[in-house]
Amino acid sequence: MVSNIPKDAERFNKIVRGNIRKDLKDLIAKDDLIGRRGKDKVVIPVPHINLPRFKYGNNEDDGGVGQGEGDIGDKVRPADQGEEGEGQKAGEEAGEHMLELTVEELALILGEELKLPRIEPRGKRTIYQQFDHYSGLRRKGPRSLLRLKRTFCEALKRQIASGEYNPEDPSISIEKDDMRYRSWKTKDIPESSAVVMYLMDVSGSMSDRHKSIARKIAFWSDVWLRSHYKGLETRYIIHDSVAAEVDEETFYKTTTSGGTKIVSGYIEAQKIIKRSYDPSDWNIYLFQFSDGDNWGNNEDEFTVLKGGLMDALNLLCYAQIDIPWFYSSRYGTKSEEVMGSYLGELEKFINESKYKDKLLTSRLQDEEDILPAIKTFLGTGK
Amino acid sequence: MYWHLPPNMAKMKDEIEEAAKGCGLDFYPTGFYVVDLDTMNEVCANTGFPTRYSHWRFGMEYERTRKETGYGFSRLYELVINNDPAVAYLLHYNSITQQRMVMAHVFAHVDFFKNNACFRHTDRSMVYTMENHRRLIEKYIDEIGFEEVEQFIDNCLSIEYLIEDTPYIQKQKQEEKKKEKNCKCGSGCKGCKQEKGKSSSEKLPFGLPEYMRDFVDIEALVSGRRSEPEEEKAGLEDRFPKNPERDVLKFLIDNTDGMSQWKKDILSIIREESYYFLPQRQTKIMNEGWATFWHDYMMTEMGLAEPNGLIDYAKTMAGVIGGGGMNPYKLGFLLYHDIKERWDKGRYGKEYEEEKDALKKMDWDTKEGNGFKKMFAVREAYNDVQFIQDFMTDEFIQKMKFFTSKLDHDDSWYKISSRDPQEVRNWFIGQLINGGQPVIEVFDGNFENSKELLLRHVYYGQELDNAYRNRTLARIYSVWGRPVHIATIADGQPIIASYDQGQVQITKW
Repeated sequence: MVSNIPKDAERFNKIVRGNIRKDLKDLIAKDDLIGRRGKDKVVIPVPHINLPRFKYGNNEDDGGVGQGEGDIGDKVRPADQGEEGEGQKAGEEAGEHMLELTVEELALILGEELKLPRIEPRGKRTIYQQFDHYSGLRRKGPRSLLRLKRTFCEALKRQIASGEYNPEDPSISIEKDDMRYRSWKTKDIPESSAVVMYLMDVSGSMSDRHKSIARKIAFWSDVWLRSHYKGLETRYIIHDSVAAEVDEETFYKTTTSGGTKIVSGYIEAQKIIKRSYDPSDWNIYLFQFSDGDNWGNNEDEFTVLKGGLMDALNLLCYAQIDIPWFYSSRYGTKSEEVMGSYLGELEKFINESKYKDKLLTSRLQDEEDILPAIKTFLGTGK
Repeated sequence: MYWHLPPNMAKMKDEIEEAAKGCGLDFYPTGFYVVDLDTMNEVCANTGFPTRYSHWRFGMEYERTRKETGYGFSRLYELVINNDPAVAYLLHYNSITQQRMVMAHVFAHVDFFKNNACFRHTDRSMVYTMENHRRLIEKYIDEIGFEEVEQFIDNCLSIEYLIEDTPYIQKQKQEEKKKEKNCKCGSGCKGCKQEKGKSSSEKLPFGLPEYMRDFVDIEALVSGRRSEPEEEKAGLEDRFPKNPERDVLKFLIDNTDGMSQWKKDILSIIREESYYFLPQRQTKIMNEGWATFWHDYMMTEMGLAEPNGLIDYAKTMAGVIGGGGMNPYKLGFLLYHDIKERWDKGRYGKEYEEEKDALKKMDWDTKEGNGFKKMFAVREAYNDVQFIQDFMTDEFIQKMKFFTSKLDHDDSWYKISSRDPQEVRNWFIGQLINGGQPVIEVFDGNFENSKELLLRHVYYGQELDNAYRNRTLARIYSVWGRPVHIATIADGQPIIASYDQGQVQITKW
């Protein structure tokens, strides 16, 4: 009997992954995945896997038959309430299958779907270099690596144990089993590394939705990049009118408000670069998220960019999130699209300078645009 | 990995087989295999047929069982398939005592397969039939292409349960129709029907005596379906088929325009396999209860459990019959016990039921001793619905302290709503009718006079799941090739849901 099952299971998994790909857009837009680590398991509902059939709907009112003592009206069990109940209901709908995946696997599916290039490390950008170093001992090896001292010790040990050793007349005879040779391990040593800095505007004009979109781009880019570059470093900066470097958690959770001075973020980035990352050794990428609303006439920003930051950067990825704001005034509610002006001016400035190839921009209006933005930033393979 | 029985277990098998025969069980020769957990999962995913055709849903089933058994949420002790000779798989992690129990269990299952009325028309060489099905499907995959065949199988599997739930009655009906044609006065008038009824040599189902023929609506009795009111039938003469067709798959095979041979073959395969598995859905409680009763009887009363295995046995048994009201092992087990007691002590019939004195009733014992005889008769003639209807007595329900519960919306608690035996019974039957599946039939194959398909959901108080309904309609559409409608009830309103070119429309009527 040759079982078909392995084949069937494989086919099934392929279908599941195909389905995930179709639903990627919604998946990416999910809030609860943000902040997970690469090896973390996530459980993803995969809809439309079960075969649809005519079946009875869920009759919530019916508690079924139970067994035991009790009068009419006695409580049997609580109904599932709130979130749990909803979750269950959603799970029931349209034949969902729950699938366990790691975030990393998900990022790979994302890469496949967006047809992101698998970036081949090249030249100076090789992040790892292989390096052999001696770390242990083994019983076999070339003569040149023989460790005499250790070999003698082993021989001595053996002789003492077997009672051959005579302290009056110490003579050590070495046998083949006593021989110890150095052994080595191949280690990956980062030769030239990459750092990605995420710079987010958290000023008052950035609503929670703005920030959530920004974080999603940051998170998924990060997961994907990490799954490709071992040893990638990430730094997080938030700014309103002043900037601060924060840790990952703060970056993904923080809410602040205030004015906006993009220049403060640039200066902070520059500081970090000066402190830790020598541009001649590091590939430095800056992802910037903003609503394009900036105080002043952007002169300061461009001065900083011109004054060394652009030289240090390999790439500046700028995502501008333009969600229409709704104003309610005494003349009634009107919706007005506030186009942040920074995007246009930045493009104009960069295009006129020598850094033309170092800028990627994307403008987002809602969650739908997240995937295209990620594709823009990661799709070039730079 | 799977192995034939090792010598010690082969000896055990002979011993248990003798004991089972001694109990009066009548089974096909049964072959046992010992398998490891992974193989067991594979076999289960394939519903016991390693020779079954390849399809991703078996893979899905496998992933699911693997997770469940792997984490220890559930345990599979055995799997047995209805075939002659029967094939049973035992999990090799079972302890020796458990293996004994499981073997006894298996023999009782095979006895049930062989003798129960619902299984009478099942294919007893299904192992080979499955193999042939697989070969044919593989041939078509080679000829037509994998994607296309898989797509079509997906579509068909969505409707695999839409078959007649009483195939033996169906056969009878066809024969009657033939006779009707011979009827002189035309369309089977009452007089002729009665005559024909009397002269019919066809045996009544469930061993009903011949004189009952004129008094019972056999069809309704067997299927649990009420005969339609006359006025509903009138005025719809121009429908096709004339009477609603329960066997939707057969209707599609016969009447779909331009369906190519390979599609017909695959749909037939799915229909055939569906009919094969149908009785197992119809007799879950009876079958498991029967097997549990007998393995318990053999292990304890007949002393098949070794003395040092009794604790192990008791623990395992507690796991098998643990849990709530709907555990088929437990419910069936208890019901058979009840039947045995009642017929042993003569606690049935008019005299017993009309006895008012509760004390007398409690001590009622006519020393009749017909318990086993009745049990065997029941296992031969009943399915789950009738089993509950007839043998889940008011006294049984009271003794078991069954109740129904309903959601109280005020504080979101399920509360005991009734201890009325009839309501409890109705709840069970509602779960069991048509194997727990909605009853769907072809109402008109030429709807709107343009070969659109009108299905009808026969409503028993439970509505269809809307999302599933719409997606299933889409699947049927891709088989039928023309718009598909279903008359059903949604949110208390009678509606027709229509599917045409990717869109579902709901019309009230």
